[in-house]
Amino acid sequence: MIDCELHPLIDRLEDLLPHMDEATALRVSQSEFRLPPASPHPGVDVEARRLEGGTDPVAVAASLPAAIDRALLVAAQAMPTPGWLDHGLAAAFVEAVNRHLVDRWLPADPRFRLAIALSPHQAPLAVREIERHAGVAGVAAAAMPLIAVAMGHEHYHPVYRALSERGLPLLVHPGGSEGEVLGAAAIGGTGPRTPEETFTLLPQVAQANLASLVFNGVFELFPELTVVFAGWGFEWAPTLVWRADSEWRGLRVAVPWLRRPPSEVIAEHVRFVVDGAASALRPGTWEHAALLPESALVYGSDAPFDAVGPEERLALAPAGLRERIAENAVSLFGARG
Amino acid sequence: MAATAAEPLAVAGTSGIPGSAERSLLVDADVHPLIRDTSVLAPRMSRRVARRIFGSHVGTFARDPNRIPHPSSGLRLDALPPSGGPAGCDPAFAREQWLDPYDVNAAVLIPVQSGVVIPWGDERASQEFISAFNDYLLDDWHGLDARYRVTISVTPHDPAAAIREVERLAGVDGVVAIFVPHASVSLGRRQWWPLYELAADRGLPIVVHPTGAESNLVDAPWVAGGLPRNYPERHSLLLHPGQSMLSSLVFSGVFDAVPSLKVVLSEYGFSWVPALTMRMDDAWEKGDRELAGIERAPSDYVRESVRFTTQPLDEPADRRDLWRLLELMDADRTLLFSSDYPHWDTDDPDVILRTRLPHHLRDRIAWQSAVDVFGPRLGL
Amino acid sequence: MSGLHGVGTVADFELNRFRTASLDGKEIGVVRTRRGFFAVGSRCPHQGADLCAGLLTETTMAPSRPHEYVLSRDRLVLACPWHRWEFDLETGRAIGAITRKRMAVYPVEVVGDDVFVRLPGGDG
Repeated sequence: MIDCELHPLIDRLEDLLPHMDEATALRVSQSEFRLPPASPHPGVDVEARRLEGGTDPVAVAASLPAAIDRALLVAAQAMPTPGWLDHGLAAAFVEAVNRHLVDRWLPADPRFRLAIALSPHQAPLAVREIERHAGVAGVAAAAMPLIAVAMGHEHYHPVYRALSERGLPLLVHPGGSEGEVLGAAAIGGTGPRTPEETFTLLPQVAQANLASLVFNGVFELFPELTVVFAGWGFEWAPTLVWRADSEWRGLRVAVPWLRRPPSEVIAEHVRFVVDGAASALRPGTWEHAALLPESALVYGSDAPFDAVGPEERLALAPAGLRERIAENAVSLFGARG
Repeated sequence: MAATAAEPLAVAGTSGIPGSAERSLLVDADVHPLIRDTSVLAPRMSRRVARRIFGSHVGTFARDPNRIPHPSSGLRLDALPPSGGPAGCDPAFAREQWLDPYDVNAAVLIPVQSGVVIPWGDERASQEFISAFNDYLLDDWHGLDARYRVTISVTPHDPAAAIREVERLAGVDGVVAIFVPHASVSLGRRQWWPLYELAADRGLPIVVHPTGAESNLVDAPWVAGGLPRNYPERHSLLLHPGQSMLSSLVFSGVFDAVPSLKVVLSEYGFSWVPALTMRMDDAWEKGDRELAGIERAPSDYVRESVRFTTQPLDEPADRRDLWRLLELMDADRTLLFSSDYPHWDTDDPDVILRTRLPHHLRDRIAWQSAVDVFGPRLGL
Repeated sequence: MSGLHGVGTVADFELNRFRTASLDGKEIGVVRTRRGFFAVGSRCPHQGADLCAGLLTETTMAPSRPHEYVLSRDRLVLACPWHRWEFDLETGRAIGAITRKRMAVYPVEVVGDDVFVRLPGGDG
């Protein structure tokens, strides 16, 4: 079983400074800049909890459940960049995070794999980051948070091109500024005002970006690309799939680059992580899973947040589906897994 | 080169499969009346306001058609009234084309056109326009045919004026609900609560419905993500403001403060309801049921107090996939049939009720749940 | 009665304007175009809307690259007045494979000035 979402935590900004050029290190350490907190999905957590552990790669490796063969490292603290207005700083920060993880985490255990964190603001900088690490052993994916420019926009095409050429799937993950900060991906309505609303509505961001990807033909242009939605749940997906198909049937002339139904495009190119966000302990969740293709879901622990092992998280999944979920991740990462 | 309407040699069928012997009554919970030329409302307004509004161009819709155009038309192509004007502007023709052939016993009129006031800063003008519009619908639509039941609009800009408007019209025959064209203030906010108390007291559900302003006007709600680039992309995300209003209402505590309040989320779809409700319940649990400050589980409030309309019905390859979700959302209580006549993505009542929904829910969805929420105001 | 059904004379048909008739229990729409006569079942296979009140065009959008639009002119297209599902006027197949459902189509025969629709079954 591959864990597609394990969050390595960084508790000191000092750990990142050696991985920055000296001017950036100075700016980061002397300005108001603060290391983003290591809290569960900051901004959507209903009640902030103090976190123990998660910062020592050796300890984290030792605590991996026996069922886990591989664990994909997704740097949650590199995900708040959508709310940051200094694009260069955002890029330099995630570059330092990536170097730190390559330096200290990948070597700590052969089961670890790395999702290269990307800042979404400037595609050329993200492409540079992909090129820098794509050849590093253990790198298996990229991870990116979402800004107010939806994923179907041409802005991202250089990133998709680079990922496709390098055979890297793209995880998209919340960063905590969704719906609250100008420039980050919006949450629908007029802006959530309570943590309960933010938590409830966060999946809309994934839904909107999926619609954007499909209706702007990203997968027609980049047939090798796979996008993985991690941290948003997946129960929202059947509605979007059905609705997108209905829209396409009536409005094909508006999007004639879609030669097949959105449901087929999504089945081929999109995956959803069953992680802490996915209410996995409710039977209703698995009713929704049954409405998606068997290829759609992969497992993620979301450790050290909301951490539950695969047996427990998938306990309500039908037996065949549990196996399929494991296989889906193997296919997803291919030789990089 | 467009074909024009068919000319019958013998008997021309009307669209769809009219009439049905298989259900007793039909309430259409979402029908859209349109004023062809809003300047007809001017005589009902004060001189200053009429000059203010009609001195400059007032759009027919809250959405600039050039911003994200439908490739042909957002209205049915076969619903043009012979008397001229766009589809939906002629109550007599709508009756002939829709109410009569389909045996519609009550059509809930939802005047989304009142959303034009969303960006207006002149609050007096908003109020007068809306009052005039309400009176017009009662006179020209309900006055023509009692099956037309009017959802009266209120201004989203001035809660006190909204209350006065409801007090003015709540006792008028034909008034069935209150439409709040939602602008920049979320519907859960306290400023709305006195309106909700009055609405509940008078047996008037609050109706929420897309206005066209979503992700277009600065003062209107938006869909999630960023700006959509094409019509199908935007259209597939219009559920977002509805979901947001729902969670805002639930977590505000208004259903504890006003237990008899009823809210109808119209034209936002419904297959997402179980997923959203589960997530609201999760949020409540995460705070140990205490942090959110509400007394009951969100799913309880939804089951008790919130209703959804069927159009546009999702169309999975296997309709039983949709049926699974009906079970998860108490559809026997929470779902109301709607057609969205005369919009382009309308649903045919007989196709929906006879072939797309489970038999045992047919009457509940066709009229019984509507009677439960709108009560004797439906005039049935 | 199946077989050939007379639906009028050529002169009765204004170009691109459907005329409908109830033939053999079916609602049939007949239209004269620059490419000849066509007859279709007037009920859209989606929800039964009257296709004859839809949009009849010689152009639609061909499959293309994202954000490009390329006209295709190789067939006559009838779009339903409700959800705008597009059908090939000649074959009844949906354009762009949006659905496997088909618009019913029937052969039309013009003999002299008279126009006939051939319905399945019977002889003649």
